[in-house]
Amino acid sequence: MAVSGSLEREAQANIAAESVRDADIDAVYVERVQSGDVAAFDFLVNKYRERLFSIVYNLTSNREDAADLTQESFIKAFRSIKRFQGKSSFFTWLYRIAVNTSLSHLKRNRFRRFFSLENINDEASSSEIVEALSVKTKTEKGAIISELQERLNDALQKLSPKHRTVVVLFEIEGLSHQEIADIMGCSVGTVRSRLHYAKQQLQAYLQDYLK
Amino acid sequence: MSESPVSLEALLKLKRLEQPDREFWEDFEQDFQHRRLRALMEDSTPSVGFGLAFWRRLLVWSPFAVGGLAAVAFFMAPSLAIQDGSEALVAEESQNLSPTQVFQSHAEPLSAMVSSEIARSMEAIRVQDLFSFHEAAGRSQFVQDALATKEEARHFRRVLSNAALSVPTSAGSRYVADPLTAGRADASSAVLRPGSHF
Repeated sequence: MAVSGSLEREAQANIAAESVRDADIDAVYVERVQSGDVAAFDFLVNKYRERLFSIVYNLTSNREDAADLTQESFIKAFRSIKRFQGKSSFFTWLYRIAVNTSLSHLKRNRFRRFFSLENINDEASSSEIVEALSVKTKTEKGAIISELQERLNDALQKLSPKHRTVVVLFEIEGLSHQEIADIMGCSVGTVRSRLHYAKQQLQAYLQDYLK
Repeated sequence: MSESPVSLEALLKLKRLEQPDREFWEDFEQDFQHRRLRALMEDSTPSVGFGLAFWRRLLVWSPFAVGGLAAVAFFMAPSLAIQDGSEALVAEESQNLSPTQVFQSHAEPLSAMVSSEIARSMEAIRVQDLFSFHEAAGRSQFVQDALATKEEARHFRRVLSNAALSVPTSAGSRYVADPLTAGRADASSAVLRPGSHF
């Protein structure tokens, strides 16, 4: 018990240390960009583009919109990087821009929505869930994966944008409550309560798979 | 009863496997570079940036602006007229100009024209009537004669203001030349003897 506890603490310490190192590296590049080194921004784009795209895609469930909004977020960050004072980490600031850009887009297009789903990785077919569901429903894995993808996106889209955001950032992106609170500009308590409510809703929408 | 390994968290983690391929990122990179270059150009040239922002705003508001201008033009257009004083049709140097060019070269400020036009509504010629007549006449001899001299143009104007004569001519109408009665400035009676279809 004590051993596992200390291992966990060590892992968390390692993660924290890595985050600090990460933040330091970002700070160096941000400073270069602020001094006029445009190429330094490319480093930051390459580092964060997949994560940013993932957030935006899971918020919008539209591949093309997600690509466009991700680029727009980077451009906004590029334009306002001179005003970035380093009070938060660069990635928090960048994620905040991406989330706000996505939420604005969702608000503008709330009556015009359609899905354009991303390809699902081959790893999905070897995942435990897909195996279990395939056996349970006696359905081919490929069919299960397609169906799951659609139902998951559908369920997420039924949530309000703010509830969807906390679920995406916590469950899919793996951010902490504090990081989510910083990105969304709310308290940790608000993040927890939104997450709790959102998961209750998702349980109801996806109960067929969770029985 | 066996416990299902399928939890909500596990289901949601499947979403991490929705990832674009390499081709997507190549296109993304290309598009992004173009966008960034555009952003750099806009930001580095304030006037360009301002200009672009201005035109962007103008495009957004232009339908309203166009609609407003069209409404103004619609209500003002009937009042646009050539005043006696402006001599827009009769200036010697404007003989060879089209009615549009004549009008433009001698146009007075809109408000001044409107107010004076109200006062002279009975005698002023409607530009549209002239234009439509001109088009209908197709620069016929009639029109050419009318525009030839200052004196005749005034007669022409007054003749056309006679309601009985301000009808569009049909194709094939013939103009029967009839010398204007000398010395008669007030051509209240028709000075043109209509041809068979005039």
